[in-house]
Amino acid sequence: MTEKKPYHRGRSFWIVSGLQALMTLFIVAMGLAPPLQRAVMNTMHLTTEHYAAWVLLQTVPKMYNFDNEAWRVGFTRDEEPPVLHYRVNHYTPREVTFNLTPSRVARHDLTGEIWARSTYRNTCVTSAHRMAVDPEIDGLVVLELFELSETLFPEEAQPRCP
Amino acid sequence: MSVNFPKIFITTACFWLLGWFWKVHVFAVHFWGGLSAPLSHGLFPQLMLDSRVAIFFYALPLLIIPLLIRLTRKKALLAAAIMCVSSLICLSHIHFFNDATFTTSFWVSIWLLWMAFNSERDDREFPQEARWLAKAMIAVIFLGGFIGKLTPTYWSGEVLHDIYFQQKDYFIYSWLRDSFSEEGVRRLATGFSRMAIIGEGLLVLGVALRYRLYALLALAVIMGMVFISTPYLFSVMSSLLGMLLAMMIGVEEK
Repeated sequence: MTEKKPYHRGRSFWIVSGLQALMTLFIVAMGLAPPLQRAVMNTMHLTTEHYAAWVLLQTVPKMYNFDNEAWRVGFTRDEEPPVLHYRVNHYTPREVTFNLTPSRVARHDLTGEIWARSTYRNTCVTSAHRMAVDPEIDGLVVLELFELSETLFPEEAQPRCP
Repeated sequence: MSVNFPKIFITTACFWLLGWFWKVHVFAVHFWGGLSAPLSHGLFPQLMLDSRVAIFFYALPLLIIPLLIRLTRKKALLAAAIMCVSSLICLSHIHFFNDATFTTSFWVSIWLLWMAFNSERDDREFPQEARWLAKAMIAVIFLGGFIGKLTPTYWSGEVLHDIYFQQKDYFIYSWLRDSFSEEGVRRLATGFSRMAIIGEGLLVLGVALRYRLYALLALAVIMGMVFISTPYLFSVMSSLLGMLLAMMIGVEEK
């Protein structure tokens, strides 16, 4: 009679389980550690320093994470444009990248800013992006980070961290 | 237990594809905008700003459809690899970075890759491992949302009140705004937000449950979220639903 060999889980099972365990550890640690909270918030603001790190953090599931607010200013020919303030589910610059805003900016040569704030307990991150037509490359729309103190618009409604 | 691999793979892949292309009309407008006005941002490499790259990798999973006919291990491996690469590229591209569809698609494609890699196994541990990994995928995905909402403004309902009850045009929210006072709507938002947190928490802790029970719980929570959110959320959830359903119908208890 042949004795049945004990079953050993294959390497592929441990690789996938390992990925899941790593992700679980990261997410739990993120709930506790402000530097990780800031890192994930920076992903959502497109303010991560290195693209490779940003891609890595993009794989972290983060549906409706944190309290995220956006202020949309400009994108119109009005001399005194209104400041539109609202909450968003996660990625704040989405408000100007994922729609027809860039093509409107290009067509009418507009300038606009998106200010953002994310908070989670005592952690807070703010950012500001400006969108305008590139003066040198025809048709290209540039979305760039800038310091809020350099805003082209009235400052009274600017986001600040508590 | 016996595993009907083609049934599991094809069911999951079909749901995956359905979710992937659920918002194709929205993306078509977005692509048109991107082609007419290319966007530049300091974080992204040139390729990840190019609308043509976005269109190519968004369309690439269409190749999976012929692969699902007379499925073999090699075809399944290729299909899962296409899903994995497409979702990773899409979630790293400026046109798609904000859409959780590509995050859930990415994690489900890893599970499909594992399934395809192991598809020739006939030992009794295979279905158990597949079920465990499927449950763990769901739990990890909802853990992200659960931990991210453990903050006073979510528990009070303030965040979801703004995002859903004030901003959304979906008929449920228009009807609620018309039918209830501002105070009533706020109270509903508090209940809705707490239910979302508890639902996600259950999907995390429920991983210890037996597969069928967990799958039924997950299906109820996910479908509830899709119904009270907007139909667009189906694009995020479809691949997860497919994986759960496939493991219910493709594993036979002997």
